[in-house]
Amino acid sequence: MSARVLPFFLLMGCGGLAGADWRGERLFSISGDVLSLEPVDLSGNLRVALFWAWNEDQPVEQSVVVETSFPAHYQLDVYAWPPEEAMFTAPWSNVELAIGVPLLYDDADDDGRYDPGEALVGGPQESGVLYVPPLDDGEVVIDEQLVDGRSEEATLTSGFHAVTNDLQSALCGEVALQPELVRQEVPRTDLYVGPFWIHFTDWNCDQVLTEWTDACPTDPGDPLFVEFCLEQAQLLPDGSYPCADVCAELMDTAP
Amino acid sequence: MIVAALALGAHAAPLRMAVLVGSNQGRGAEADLLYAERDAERMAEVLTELGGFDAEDVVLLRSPGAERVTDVLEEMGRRASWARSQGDEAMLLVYYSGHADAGALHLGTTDLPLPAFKRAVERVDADVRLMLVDACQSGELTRLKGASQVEPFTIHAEDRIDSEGLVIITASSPGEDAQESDRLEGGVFTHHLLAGLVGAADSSGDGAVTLTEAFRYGYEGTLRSTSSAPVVQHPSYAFDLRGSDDLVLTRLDGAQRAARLTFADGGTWVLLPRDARAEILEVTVPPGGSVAVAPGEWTVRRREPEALLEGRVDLERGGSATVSRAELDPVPYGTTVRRGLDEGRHAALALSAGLGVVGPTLPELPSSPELVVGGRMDLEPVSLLLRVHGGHVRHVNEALTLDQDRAGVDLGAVKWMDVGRFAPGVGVQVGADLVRQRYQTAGTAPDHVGAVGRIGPWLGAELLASGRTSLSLGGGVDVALYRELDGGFTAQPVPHGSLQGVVYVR
Repeated sequence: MSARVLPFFLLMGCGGLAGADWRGERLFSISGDVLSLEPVDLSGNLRVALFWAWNEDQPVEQSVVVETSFPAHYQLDVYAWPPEEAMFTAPWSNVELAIGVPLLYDDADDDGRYDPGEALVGGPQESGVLYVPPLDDGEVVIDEQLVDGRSEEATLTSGFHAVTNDLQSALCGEVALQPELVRQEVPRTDLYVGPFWIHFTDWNCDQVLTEWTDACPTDPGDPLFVEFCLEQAQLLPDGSYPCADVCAELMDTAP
Repeated sequence: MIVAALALGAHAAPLRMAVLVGSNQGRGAEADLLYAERDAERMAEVLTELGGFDAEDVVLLRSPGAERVTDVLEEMGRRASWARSQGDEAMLLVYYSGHADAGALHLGTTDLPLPAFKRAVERVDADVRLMLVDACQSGELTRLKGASQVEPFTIHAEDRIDSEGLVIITASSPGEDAQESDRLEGGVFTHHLLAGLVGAADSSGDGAVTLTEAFRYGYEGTLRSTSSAPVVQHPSYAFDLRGSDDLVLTRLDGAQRAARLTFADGGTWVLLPRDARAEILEVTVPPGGSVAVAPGEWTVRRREPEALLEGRVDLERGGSATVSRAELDPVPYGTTVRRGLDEGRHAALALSAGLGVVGPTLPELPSSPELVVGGRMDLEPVSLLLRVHGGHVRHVNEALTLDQDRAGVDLGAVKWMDVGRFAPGVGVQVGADLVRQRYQTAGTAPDHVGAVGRIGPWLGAELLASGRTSLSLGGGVDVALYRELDGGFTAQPVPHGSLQGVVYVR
């Protein structure tokens, strides 16, 4: 190879080029199965998206199409850090965090993204995604305990973590944060198609168990909805939560 | 020496005889000539058409041996003697085009020593004997009698005496080579001499070309044509004539088959015949000058400082026409080189700039505009292109915004087909681009820098706007090769096109 041609080939070896559909470096990935606990009538536009839970606006990260025949497998790759509006300060720390869950929704207009009003039709029962932003020390200590006479620290490192509901409870100060909770990376996150109340978790610690929809059931007799009402009423007896009137009516008619 | 004249006109129908020898064949290691025999043929045509020579009095010898030449001259001598015995005057013109050296003419495998050649001519009992020799070192002939060369441009009236004698005109001076020209398709000296004889030399405008006019014209033309050659050629002469009038060699009004072309503007004109049997003619004439040419269609060219002008003229047999520079169209600068029309220029340099559109260099990217600047060198076989171009494209997907900048260099070769002011071209180009990708994202997307190699055909067309400027439209489809992030290589067809202004700078 002549010397004149060599610089070009060296240049071609310097780096590759990304295609137009390149989304950036994959930051995190969630995968699991989509299962249905009961027969459900869905359109053909079933999608999974990562919803960052906070406030009434629901920042959504990406979405992928999921088959409507169950069980189906999904993999959701995350290419963006959570938006600013998804960050909140945990009660136990001055570190801002973000909590998100993969949810199933019916993309009625088939535009490839979640639009307000589109039905949320499923999600995880016991797991979610925790995001810890870059830290000066590379990790944040969330608890310190003496175990067998030794000081053990429960720490969180920056980045994405797939976590269980138990961590949520600890993050919201309801239970002590055990070190093993933060070491518990969830290998997969299965999603369940069904009413929202079958997987109610107060991810953002506001004591409202419904994070992403306030649609009320058409069949209040569903045992899981009853359980939801009981637990929600305990947290917010003043009724300041979605479907409070339905729950109140249910309680009034309960034997 | 003195130039005197032959008063042939004072007698009835002088016998004009010619022996025209053309010998392409070289001797030993000498390369064969290309045009010597054809030069002799052209001389025969001019002498019979315009010179008052009857065809039966013109002997054309193609590559003869020495003995044949001397035999013919002896025959001519007998005919001349008979004519003079009848009281008629006789003239002998001997023309030789071929190889020679300082001592002899090279006639194939035989030599004819110059002294013997000259003696053979002198023995012909003609009133005037004219030797025209277009051969290397033929100037030695003019030395044989001890004649010295003087500028032939002044005729002294007091030197005119009765017309008899010998005229020797040679294409080169002693020690010089005589040259053939592919552009003129003949011996340089013979071409200009013949151009003079058909009318270009008629400086007096009287419709007759004299010996002095013809030699002056041939001398100046030869000097001009060879001035840029490695060796400048100086025709020489020796006139040993005694007479009262300058010897008239041709008359334009004597043409029977030829047409007459008059040039309204003075200067150098080149006439190219459509008929392959006719010869190219380069003439330098004053305003109103005329030449006799074969009938038919001719391309007429005129070189000026800033452009080459070209036109067409169609001449009927026995007809006439006038051409002027105002009727000619400029030939594009590059075209003059590409068609080999410019003997002094073998390359034309042009600069170009314009706008282009390039197709997606990566799948799903949009086409993008680009700025193109470049240069071009036109050579006779092909034009070489160098282009530098660059552009920017923005693309938005679900996760990020891509800003892609690209700068590239192309090298190309194009073959143009010049058709008047329009020139389609076809070629090939290779190129390389440097590409930088920058992103705006809510995640992490580092910049990428990579190279893209391209190769592909190129098609285009140019339209002449003026002698030095043109508009060029062209494009093609390149195969672009680049490396992907995963290390694999991808080939992608990339269409492209551009519209550029072209300006010749040299």
